[in-house]
Amino acid sequence: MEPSTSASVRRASPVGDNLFEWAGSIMGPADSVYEGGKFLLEMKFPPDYPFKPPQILFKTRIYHCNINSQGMVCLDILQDQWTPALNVGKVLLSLTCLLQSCNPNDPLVGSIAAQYLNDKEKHDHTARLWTKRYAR
Amino acid sequence: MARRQQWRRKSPEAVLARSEEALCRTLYIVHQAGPTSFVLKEETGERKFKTCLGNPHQCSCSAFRKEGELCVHILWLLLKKFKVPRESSLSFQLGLVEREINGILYGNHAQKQLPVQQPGSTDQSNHVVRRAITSEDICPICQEEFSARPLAIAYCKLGCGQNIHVRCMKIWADHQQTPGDPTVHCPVCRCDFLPLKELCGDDLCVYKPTSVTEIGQARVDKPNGGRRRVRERGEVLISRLKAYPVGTGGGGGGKGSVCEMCGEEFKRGDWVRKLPACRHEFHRLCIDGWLRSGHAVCPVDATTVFVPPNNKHKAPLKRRKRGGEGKRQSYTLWILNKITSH
Repeated sequence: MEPSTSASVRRASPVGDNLFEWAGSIMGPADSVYEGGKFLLEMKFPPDYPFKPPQILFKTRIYHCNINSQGMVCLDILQDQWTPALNVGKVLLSLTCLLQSCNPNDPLVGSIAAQYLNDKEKHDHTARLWTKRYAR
Repeated sequence: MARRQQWRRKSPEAVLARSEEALCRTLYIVHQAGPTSFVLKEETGERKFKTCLGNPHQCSCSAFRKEGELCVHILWLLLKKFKVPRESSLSFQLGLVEREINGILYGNHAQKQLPVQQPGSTDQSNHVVRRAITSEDICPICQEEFSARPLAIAYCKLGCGQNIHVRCMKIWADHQQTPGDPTVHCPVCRCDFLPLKELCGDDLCVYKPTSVTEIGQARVDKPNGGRRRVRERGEVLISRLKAYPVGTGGGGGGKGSVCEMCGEEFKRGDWVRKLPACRHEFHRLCIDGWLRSGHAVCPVDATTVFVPPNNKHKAPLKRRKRGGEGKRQSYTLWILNKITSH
């Protein structure tokens, strides 16, 4: 496992002495509806990491069609597309990209995805509101 | 961003002639205002032209302003500065979108030609050239430097040429989704890495010493009846690990150091064996007993015991030739254990 990513927008480090449990944070990408928000993450590494993906949970609430209210993330590289060449830095970068552009065609929360496709203005408004309310 | 000019399938005659001219012309770059914006000067004459590649391309020369067609300066930048091939359709467009400009800046079009050249020039097997291993290179799976441990290294033959420890690839193969599928996917480029059988093949390498390690071949050579010989060879390999009597200054058993197995301090007259990779020291009797009992790892940190090639010993060489593995120069002991344990 690698140490904390150097970029100030994405951080991660182990919690206490247990190297298998990390806490991290990503900043909402600029020019997105999550701009200005700081999203806390919980990462759990399985004993056979890096051959199995880490489990990632959003501890901060977020209005996103691929992240549900429990904070579970629907991202292919955290499931069947995982490869052992990925590391914490790359995963955090992918999560930032997911915030930048969500994938409404493979949603975890169907209602948000439908709203994103049909009424993007309202979706963006709610997402900004949630970011302001929960992520600051 | 959308294309402002229509995409051209064929190069107009005028542009063809001009690109000929551009390839022969000598121009100087006087100033580079941005990644794709240049001030050019002709070889003869003092006139300068402001030329900019973009969507669309622009140039301050009279020919471009009059005709609105690609001028020599733009073509010179594309063909000579950025080395876009003449056959490429990017070389005669009136403008390029951001993605294409990025491709030109990073030289992507040059790379696209590579796979075409390789099969003819290298070998018939279509294999990608292996990336050179430097001392700072790390295995993408375990993130350890290749130089840290003398482990066998395979590389992605069909995709990226990336080097990866064979050990790591084997574990990854065990974890892949479809157990029935004999191929392993490259963790870096996701293309087919190699069938597992080939992973144990012939062109593995070890970083320093640069000898060939043919893992698993012993198993193929002698599935049966070679057990006694294997055990003998195990003895030979153990004897090739360095051992020094304490007090001869051979590097083993420094003052005050203890055997990591029995915990006793080394005394004068004791024989000390040092494992080559991890440099842990043991009494010869302690560690030999451990290795003979079917362990091929250091008892302290579980580093694989690697036997360095040694041409001084003539007897083992003879024995190896009789076994039909003359090419082999080094082994890891764990293979032997696998064989003996069957």
